[in-house]
Amino acid sequence: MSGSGERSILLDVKALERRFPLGKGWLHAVDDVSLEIGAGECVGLVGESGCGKSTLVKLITRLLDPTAGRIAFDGHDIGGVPAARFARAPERALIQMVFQDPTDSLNPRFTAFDTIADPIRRLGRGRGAGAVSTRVRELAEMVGLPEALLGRFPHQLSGGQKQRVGIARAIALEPKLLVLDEPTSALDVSVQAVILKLLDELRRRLGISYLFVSHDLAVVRLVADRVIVMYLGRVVETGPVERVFANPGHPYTRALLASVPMPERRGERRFRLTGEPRSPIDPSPTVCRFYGRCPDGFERCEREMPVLRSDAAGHAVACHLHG
Amino acid sequence: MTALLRHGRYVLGENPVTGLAFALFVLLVVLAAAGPGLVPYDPLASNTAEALKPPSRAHWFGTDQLGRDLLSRVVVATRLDLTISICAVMIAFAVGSAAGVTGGFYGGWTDRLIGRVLDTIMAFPLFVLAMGIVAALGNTVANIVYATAIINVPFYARLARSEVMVRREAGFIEAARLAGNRGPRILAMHLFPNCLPPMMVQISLNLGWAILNAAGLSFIGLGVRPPTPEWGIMVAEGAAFIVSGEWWIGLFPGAALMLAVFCFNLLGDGLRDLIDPRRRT
Amino acid sequence: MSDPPIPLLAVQDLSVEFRTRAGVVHALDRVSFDVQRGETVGVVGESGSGKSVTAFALLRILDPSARISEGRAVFGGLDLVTATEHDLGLQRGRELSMIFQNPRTALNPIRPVGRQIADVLLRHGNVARAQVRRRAVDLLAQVQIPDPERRYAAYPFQLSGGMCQRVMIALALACSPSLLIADEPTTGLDVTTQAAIMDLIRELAERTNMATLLITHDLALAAEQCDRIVVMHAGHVVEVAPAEALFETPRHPYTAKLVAATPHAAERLADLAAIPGGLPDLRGELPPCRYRFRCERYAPLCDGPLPRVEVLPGHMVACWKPL
Repeated sequence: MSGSGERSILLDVKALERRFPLGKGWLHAVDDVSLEIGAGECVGLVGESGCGKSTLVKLITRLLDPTAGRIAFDGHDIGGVPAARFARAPERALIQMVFQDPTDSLNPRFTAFDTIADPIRRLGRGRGAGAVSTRVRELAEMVGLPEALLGRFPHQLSGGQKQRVGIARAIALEPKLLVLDEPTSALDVSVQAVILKLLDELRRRLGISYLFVSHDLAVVRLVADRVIVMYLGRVVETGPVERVFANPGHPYTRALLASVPMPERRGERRFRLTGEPRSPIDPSPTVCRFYGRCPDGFERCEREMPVLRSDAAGHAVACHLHG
Repeated sequence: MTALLRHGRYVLGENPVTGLAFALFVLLVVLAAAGPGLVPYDPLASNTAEALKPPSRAHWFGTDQLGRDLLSRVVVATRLDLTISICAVMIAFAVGSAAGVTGGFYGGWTDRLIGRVLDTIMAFPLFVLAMGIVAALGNTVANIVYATAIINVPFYARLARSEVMVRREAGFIEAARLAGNRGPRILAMHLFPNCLPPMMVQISLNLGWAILNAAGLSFIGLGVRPPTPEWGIMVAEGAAFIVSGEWWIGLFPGAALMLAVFCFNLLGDGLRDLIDPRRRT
Repeated sequence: MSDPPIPLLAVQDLSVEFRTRAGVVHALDRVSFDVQRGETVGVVGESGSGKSVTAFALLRILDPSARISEGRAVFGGLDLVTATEHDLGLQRGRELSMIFQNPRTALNPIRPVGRQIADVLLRHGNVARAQVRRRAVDLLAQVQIPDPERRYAAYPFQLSGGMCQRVMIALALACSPSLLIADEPTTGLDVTTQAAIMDLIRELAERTNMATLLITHDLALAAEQCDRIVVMHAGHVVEVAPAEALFETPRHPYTAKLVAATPHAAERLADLAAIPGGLPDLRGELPPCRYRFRCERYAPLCDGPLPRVEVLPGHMVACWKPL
């Protein structure tokens, strides 16, 4: 890492792999993914459906076990602890998540109070009912949820309010790493602005690191310090967000950026991807995953899988032509 | 708790049918509990002088072939019928939902094993299975309860299993894991309560069916033995007399059966509305 | 000077109300706009703005509890509001077509997609039975579905979201309608798929001089794809303008806030503006300007009947104090 000087690494993922058996072959959902998240930084994760970001999120939050690779959190190996037993691990409280769909992620039978209190009751340090109540109120205030709404059920709350409940629940245990899985895509644009600012403020105030997963590149540009681009289970590009967006190296990143609706580009002929994505089932380890859709592919792309090569500024691209 | 009571009053008031069903249910429970103390005659006392008398001021429902007062017998039978059906359904609900929820959540061999057991039960025509169980284990009230419970287990198990499978991957379950809940706790506190509303409807329909089942078994001679008053045997006894014109012996117990089943069916929707927080405004 | 061209679709004072247990909801109030032959008009608004209700009202596929209480929608000489079911049936699918938000659920799940297209051709297209399959395969090819011969027999669940949307476009365009209503056609799709679908719609529209009414919550998308934009808020049309003008110099305070809340338009997170307040309750008594309680520019004169001010030719604002 460069520029910002010494920064402690909070999450260190090395060569992570997750395969699923499918018929006679294996589906490579996540393949040879390495990444780092430093303390207090916000890393964006972009990629489209099928790129493996949901699986990666489940691996990092330890809801799923990797089939290969290492996950280290604050120096400790957490990849080795099976997901089924992770609820008891000391790191459980430190890695939390905010979900995309506010309706789906709240238990319809729990009031807002119960939802926020659940992690405190399960993993909080021996608190009595009074202390739990105080803490829930404190969290509600931090996320801007009026206290009167704590007794309500999810179906009685608006989308923005439900998302605030989800955020309060996620920060209840004072996590060090918060994974945000498209936290605002189900919300209206005006509510989105409020929630994004709230998330940013909480991050600075509480010193949490964020892994911000989103398909909306415009949002990622605003909130993230660095960005990781995934395609078909692999990381194809990563680096400081301004650099990557201003000067995308990988053709896929270029296609992504070219697809974002921009009023200034009315009527322009744009860079478009053609063809079908390659199959994630038993993919060849020697062919670049993007080969076939890539406008710039040449014969080396078919012989050798490109690896991430970083420049001095921390901008890494996995491409033979543009790395 | 008060919120629940307030919501309860709202549910009962909102739909007159639910209110009616609930009132009927209360009546049945009162009769079951206090009935034996309220009736004018001893349900077992025979009085051949008064045999086969039609409904009159002395005997509102008439008398049967042994001179026993039918009103007293019908009322006292409420306790037995209600007890049998409620016990059977509660057992079936408890065992069935536990099995279904476990199979649905853990999947794999657990699910397959439970599924095969359920399939075996469902392979038999249910009433025949009940008959078989009672015939094998003996002609007692307890065995009717067990038989009825066993044949109803698959309904709850299947319902619970599919409800759990739908919700297993939901966001709030993942959130529960992140909050430190482990398997059994997630099952009991997060998943199962959300499966309750459709189960409520199933329970009420089942109650009606269980009464009919017990009555049916008694009708054919398995189960409750005379002279114990029970709606089923009374209908059986009354059936023989319809041809000769003594219609009241079979009609009144039959009407009581009908009313009870009717009440439970109507109660189902109301129970579900009571339990489901989404119906609260 | 020649007379202005007769619009293909002229919506005038369209008002819709819903009868619910909680009261009458005034979902639309005197909505007016028109669509010229061949042009692309965007209808932009947040959830609850009434944009989908407008589309459903035009095709008369509203919920049974809805009632069009006022207004006209003249399409090719026929008033869609008062037309008989028979006349309307002749228009739907032939001259006036619609594509919906969730492509997989909008298609019949138990019927092969090719057969669904064939159904439309047979009903409206005056195509001989023998030719129908050929025509359907041609249409699948036109919407760039790879291997259309084989995909004719595919079921919706076997296709990706993007491909289902292409099938829906093929269905809608089977009889070359003169107006296509697209209700959030790309919500939920990947960004690259979204770009490809919008390109496809635009190409097909240009080829047959088809007009498009694009309903979306994504202002940046509308600004990029549409010729003119209609902005809706709480059942009112608040501004109608050419796309570029609307995005660069919005004249209605709500439009300005909407533009400022769009992540694309902001340089930094701090620039992202939230819109204060929430949607007004659409039941019961409502002020003439439904934005009044959220507006910073409110003055007593705003309590008068809502005006329609033409601040520039082709640029209409429904505001007493436009920016």
